[in-house]
Amino acid sequence: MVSRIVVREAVPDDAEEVAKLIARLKALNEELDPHYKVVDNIDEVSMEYVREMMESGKARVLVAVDSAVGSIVGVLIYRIVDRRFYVPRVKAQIVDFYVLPKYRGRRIGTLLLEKAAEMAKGDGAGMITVIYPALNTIAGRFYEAKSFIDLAHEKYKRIY
Amino acid sequence: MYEPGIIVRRPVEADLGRLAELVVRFYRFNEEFDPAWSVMDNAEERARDVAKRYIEGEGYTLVAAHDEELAGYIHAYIAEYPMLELSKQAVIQELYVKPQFRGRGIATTLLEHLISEASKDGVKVVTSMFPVANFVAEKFYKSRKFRPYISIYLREV
Repeated sequence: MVSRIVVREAVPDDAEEVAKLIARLKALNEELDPHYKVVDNIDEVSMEYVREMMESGKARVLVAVDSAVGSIVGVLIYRIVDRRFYVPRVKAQIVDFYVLPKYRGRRIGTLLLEKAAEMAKGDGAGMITVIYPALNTIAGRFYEAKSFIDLAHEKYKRIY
Repeated sequence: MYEPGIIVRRPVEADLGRLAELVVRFYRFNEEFDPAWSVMDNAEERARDVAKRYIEGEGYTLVAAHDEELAGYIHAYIAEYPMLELSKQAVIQELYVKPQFRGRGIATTLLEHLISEASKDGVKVVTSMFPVANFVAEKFYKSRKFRPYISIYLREV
């Protein structure tokens, strides 16, 4: 199964397919926690975001492609962050990670994560972190299984 | 708990598009928990057929309407078990409330209305089916006095 999945860095022509996956990820986050209510023009915003990430010198967009059908079935985006006060000073922070449901259980998430770690090392990162909604336990279980540990907490209070 | 402005009723013809959207959202959410729940590529088209059947009276279907919008819906079918004392059961196949309407008791209201309708038809037990990993549904039903009842095992062939 895994043999026909190719993990590579996204190219500009991938933007539309990647944006669809990002929109699905955001919709899932909304389902799991209404505090993550998505904007009405989520498709448009996702497209804009993906293009920005691809063009940014401070982020990388990786995709998993099902070579049998030529479509993108998973995406991982990480940003390079300068931890000015700490060692290691540079971290790769995964900000988006999504695999289409029907492709789950085939280690595609693991392949994306391994590729991200390898590329992040090349980007000078000494650690890899991830940020995701607290109620997204699907993500939580995945990262726990990959030996990630808690590093920071983000609290929320509505002010309007 | 009743949310002001929410009306629970049976779906009508004019609800078709909005009900179909809710059906798609229900299945898309559940497919996130188990690849075996992956929806068809033409989910939107199929959902219209499903919604049409619900509107025509298949099983029990109720919608929670808020002005021109549908906040959520519930659908159950009747399962007959002739050998069991609790022979006539209503099985909740779908229950969905849009994220922006959550936390207002709408799902509970839909559930209670459905139980009330089904009990008038001689139903003694209401059950619900959802992916094992859907912790949102599990929490909801457990807090409303449901308990695990049937296990379904799957093997792809």
